[in-house]
Amino acid sequence: MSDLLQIRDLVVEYPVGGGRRVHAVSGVTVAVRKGETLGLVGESGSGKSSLARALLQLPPPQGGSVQFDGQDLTKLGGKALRAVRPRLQMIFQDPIASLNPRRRVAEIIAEPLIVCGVADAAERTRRVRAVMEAVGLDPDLVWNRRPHEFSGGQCQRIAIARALVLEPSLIVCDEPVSALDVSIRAQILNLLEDMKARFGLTLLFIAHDLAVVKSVSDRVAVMYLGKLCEVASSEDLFASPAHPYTAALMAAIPEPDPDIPLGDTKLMPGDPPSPLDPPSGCRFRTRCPHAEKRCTSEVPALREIAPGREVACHFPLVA
Amino acid sequence: MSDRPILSVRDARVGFNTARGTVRAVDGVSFDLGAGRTLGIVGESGSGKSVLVRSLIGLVSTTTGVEVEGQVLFEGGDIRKLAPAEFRGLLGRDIGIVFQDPMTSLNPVMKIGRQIGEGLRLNRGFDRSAADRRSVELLAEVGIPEPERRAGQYPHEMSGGMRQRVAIAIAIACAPKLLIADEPTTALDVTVQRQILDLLQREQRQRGMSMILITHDLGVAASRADDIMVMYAGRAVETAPTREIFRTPRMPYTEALLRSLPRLSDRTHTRLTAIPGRPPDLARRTGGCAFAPRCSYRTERCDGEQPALIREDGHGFACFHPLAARMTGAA
Repeated sequence: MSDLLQIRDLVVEYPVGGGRRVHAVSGVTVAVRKGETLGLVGESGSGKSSLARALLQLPPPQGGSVQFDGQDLTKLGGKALRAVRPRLQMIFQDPIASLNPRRRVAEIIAEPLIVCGVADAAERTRRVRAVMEAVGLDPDLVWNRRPHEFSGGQCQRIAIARALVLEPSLIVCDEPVSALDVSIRAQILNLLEDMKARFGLTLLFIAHDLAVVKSVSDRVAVMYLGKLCEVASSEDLFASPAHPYTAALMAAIPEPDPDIPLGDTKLMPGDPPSPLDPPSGCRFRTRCPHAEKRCTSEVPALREIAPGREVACHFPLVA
Repeated sequence: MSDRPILSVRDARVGFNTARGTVRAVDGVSFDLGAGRTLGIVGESGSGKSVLVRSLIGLVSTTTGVEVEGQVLFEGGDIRKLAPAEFRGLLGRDIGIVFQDPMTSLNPVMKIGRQIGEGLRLNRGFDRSAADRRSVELLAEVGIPEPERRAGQYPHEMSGGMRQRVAIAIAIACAPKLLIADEPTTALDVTVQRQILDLLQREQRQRGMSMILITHDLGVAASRADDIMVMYAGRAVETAPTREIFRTPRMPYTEALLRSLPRLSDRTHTRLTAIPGRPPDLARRTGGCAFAPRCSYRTERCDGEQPALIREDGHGFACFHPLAARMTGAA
């Protein structure tokens, strides 16, 4: 499989005054293959959403390159970037906040077509109807309604329809089911899987719920404080995590089964450090049970330890 | 449970009168909580789990348009019949509460040491310096490093996980018999969530407190609760010991919910068994079972008649077509 998206040395920083900066993403290199779902996992402050927005140039990153289908998005400007944008779409966490409350559903879904210059109204109507049906909305029922008349799950369907209407290649899904009720999540996850198969999509799927990520992802990348810890196939990663942070995340999550005992996270006590002032060397070392002197002085590079498995750790759990 | 339950709730009801009609957020819920036990109350948003518990302890304001009914027996006495001053004494002293968002539950302009000591001074007769000393001890107990220094700080100077530890210190300061934790870790990251749940469990065991743990996360409930009550559309639809709920759910909603969850043991791209439809609009209640429109076992009776919660061997369920109980001796 070829890479649809190649992110190299991506850096995102936010100035916060007093000369201080939030180091949100600090040199991340990762690729998304055509037709796959890459899961991106991390806690708040890990930089996963910053990474997603920066690759869409919303706004452009402070450093690094984003190769999308042979073009470096960071070097494109104005018209050229606008020409690529229809192929890159995004779905946000809060479906109600991400829809304009004063617009009708049909207008919301048609808006991207107008922006991208589909001038023929009949053509727009045809495409909006088709995409509504694809996501399981009845066009005749929803056409003239407004977002507040819908539940969170239905709003997320509208957001998915809006993302699909331009027939994109890549959709960035930023926590698309986190705000939804438990009984609705499976509907939306199944819908995303169906849309991916039907339209040949490539997905970057950001979430903090590991079971959700495993369910939809072919490969998974784990982030901590702006750096990648580990990238591996979903099956490998969950069968034998190589980075101590991945192992801790897996142990921290209680499974919905009282017969599965809670794992030992082995984490050092304390909270995650601030991205304003990340630790030297390995950023996870302050909480890592295996940290040694070398981890303080030397930043571990992301390296391949087995075919298709990369880890950024001096002492990986998988040799 | 041989002892008398520490908390008994009978037929709790909360209704909000709105322009669209009365929203029956809690619609006739009864349960018992045994001393030293943890009851997990599980449900989706709008199921009434938070409103239920808040109404029990008087946190749902009974202004016009709000109806709160039912009996709440705490150690045998009906706390809804207490005079306001007695009731205030009970809250904080015998009943501690931890809310979801420690940023809004803590006072932003009061040093945290003072916030922890406030209850001790009001309820336990501590003077200021004794309360300050005890606050520092409590901060150490809930795992806050440098407790002396932290006691002099304000909530905004701490991370979310630390703030929740402070909220727990406040809740346990007066050694309550009952701790109510309303989605205590929903706003926190998973590794921090784990630490906070460990802390709650440790305090509960050491102090022999009873606990009500409200959560939408079935994993949290599975790992921390002795008993579980599942709520749907304002009613308790299933109640049983935790293992039974997960092993042999009797109520189709519980079964459907458990089946819809993605699990780490499933292979990638395993098709999820979604529940069709969505939770009902509480202002437009039908006469039947609220889950019927989404239920695969539904019959005509379910549309016309509300099933009552009935009990078989300590396992309660509200369904005309309950799933089979497990055969004795089966694996």
